[in-house]
Amino acid sequence: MTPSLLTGGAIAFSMGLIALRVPIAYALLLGAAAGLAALYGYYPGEGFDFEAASRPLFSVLADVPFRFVHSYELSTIPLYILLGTVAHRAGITTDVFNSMRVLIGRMPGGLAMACICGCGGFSALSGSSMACAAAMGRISVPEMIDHGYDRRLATGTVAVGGTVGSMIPPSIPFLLFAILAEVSVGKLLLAGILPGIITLIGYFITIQVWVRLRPEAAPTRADRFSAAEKWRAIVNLWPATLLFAIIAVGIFSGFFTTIQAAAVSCIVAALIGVGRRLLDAKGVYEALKEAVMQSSLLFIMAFGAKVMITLVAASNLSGDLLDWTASAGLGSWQLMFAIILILLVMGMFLDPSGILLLMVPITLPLVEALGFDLIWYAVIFVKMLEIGLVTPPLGLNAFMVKASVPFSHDVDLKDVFKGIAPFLVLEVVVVGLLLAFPAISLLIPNLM
Amino acid sequence: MGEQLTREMPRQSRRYLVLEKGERVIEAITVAALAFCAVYVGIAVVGNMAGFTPPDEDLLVSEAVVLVAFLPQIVLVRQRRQVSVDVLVQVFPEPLQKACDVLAAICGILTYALLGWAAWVALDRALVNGSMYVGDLELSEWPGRAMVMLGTLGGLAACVMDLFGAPKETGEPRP
Repeated sequence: MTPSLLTGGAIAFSMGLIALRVPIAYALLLGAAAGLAALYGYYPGEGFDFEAASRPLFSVLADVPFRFVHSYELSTIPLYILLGTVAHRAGITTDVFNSMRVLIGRMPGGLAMACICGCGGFSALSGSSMACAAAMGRISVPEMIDHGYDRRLATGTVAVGGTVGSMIPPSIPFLLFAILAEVSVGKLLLAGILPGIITLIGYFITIQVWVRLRPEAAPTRADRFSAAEKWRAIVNLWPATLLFAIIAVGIFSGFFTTIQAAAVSCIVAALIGVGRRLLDAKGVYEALKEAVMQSSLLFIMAFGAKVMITLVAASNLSGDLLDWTASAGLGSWQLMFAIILILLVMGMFLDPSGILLLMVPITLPLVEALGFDLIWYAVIFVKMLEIGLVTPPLGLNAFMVKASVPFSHDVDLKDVFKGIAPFLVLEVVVVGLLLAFPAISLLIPNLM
Repeated sequence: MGEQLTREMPRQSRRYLVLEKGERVIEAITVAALAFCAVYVGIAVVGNMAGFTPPDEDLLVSEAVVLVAFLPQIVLVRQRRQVSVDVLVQVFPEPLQKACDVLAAICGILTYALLGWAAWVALDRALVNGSMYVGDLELSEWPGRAMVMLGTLGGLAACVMDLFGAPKETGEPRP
């Protein structure tokens, strides 16, 4: 049995455990450990040598998780998660929707567009599009339905809106990818801005096409607001704008490192919350506690992924896969499309961080060997994860929206997916653009 | 009065209370560690502008992240926060689903046992060699390594309790 086959077996073993509801963290680490033990301790014809297997295995297990966590760079992840929990408690995440509702609510489809902006701001700050779908589903879907919006348009916009956030800094999937793939965190955080803006504009166009073709889907009878209220709405956008500026402008200009931007934005968000009297000492403690739990959960999954990366590197699996694809006559783009397809299918069943931790170790060496830019690949990767979240039959965001909408405004899951469908067509176009023009993803990072 | 009440409590409830207290202490330590990360990096930013550098910023922050990553494992397992996929298992009959839960607990025990054993080997090595980090404060390596071991032991204990029946809640509201 070749080392590559052993590694393939280890990955299959992990996948099998995950299918049997074993937590991803355990499945990844046990699969990788079994693979390493077999790689170093199994000799064809001679059997298994425990002594030969245990020394390198324990060396990897003792050092890889510790060295991974014991890193200054990695502190960005808990700090950005903390920013999300603090910003949420400080009311900053819902500010964007409330302000945009006032500013553009009376346009045709205005509430839906305000919802997309609000979801983008919410999920960018909170770092989770599923949390965004749950929170905004509760707030904005009833409001849109009450204003006579079609249930499909109302729920579809909330389900897809959160996916924009993973492209806008600070994006937790990008941070995880950067740390696992050992690429520049700052460059990767900024790489998502243009794709995020293109997606956002695409969503606006989709809504406008929808309401022009079917005006009854979004009647223009939202509340009328005075000039003073509109001015107040603009002013209320400052906390989210300030936090975005600290992160994006701070990193781009080199004024802050990614970690400094994270720490400063956390402190600023907490001060805003305290200043608005929405956050007290107990609230800060709860926000810290939630961030600690989310970070620890992410790290225990990442340990398995890091050990799996070690196994993949030791076994030369990527080299063998490259030889295999060359002998099968597959080109680099065909392989890229195969990876995209796999990511899309996995996205329907798994949460984004789980897929990221499973698939980065396997695909990264392959993509690198094929000569693709890793920052560009990260953008495609994260985009596909988020598309998976809204793709039927098991798009998790759709379920989240359905579950979060109050009983008084109950919606059918079928309607949620029907509402998502036009946006999925747009997503295909955006992914096509990102694939055809890598400059969209690489322009800002290359300016650094 | 409180002492008498504690004495009258069933042993399992007392064990539950001890666990609760332990979890709260871990939460407090890790919350302090994360707050320290944010504040210390913030101080470093202000310090850079004012012309001073706080000592060993990268090292102290890294040590704090070790605490955040490893110590809460017992809480994560006990609160069943681990991410798993139940698309396939939810169509299984009830007994098979229970078997999957047992498998998950066994996998948890194996995972934390492997990590804990490796952490013990590394801690022992750090103590024997007297390993230290290069920096102003000349920090020893062993406290971080010990935190890894404590954290994985906590995870292991929680998985064992999960498999063999954890102490039940007292039924009283949590303070």
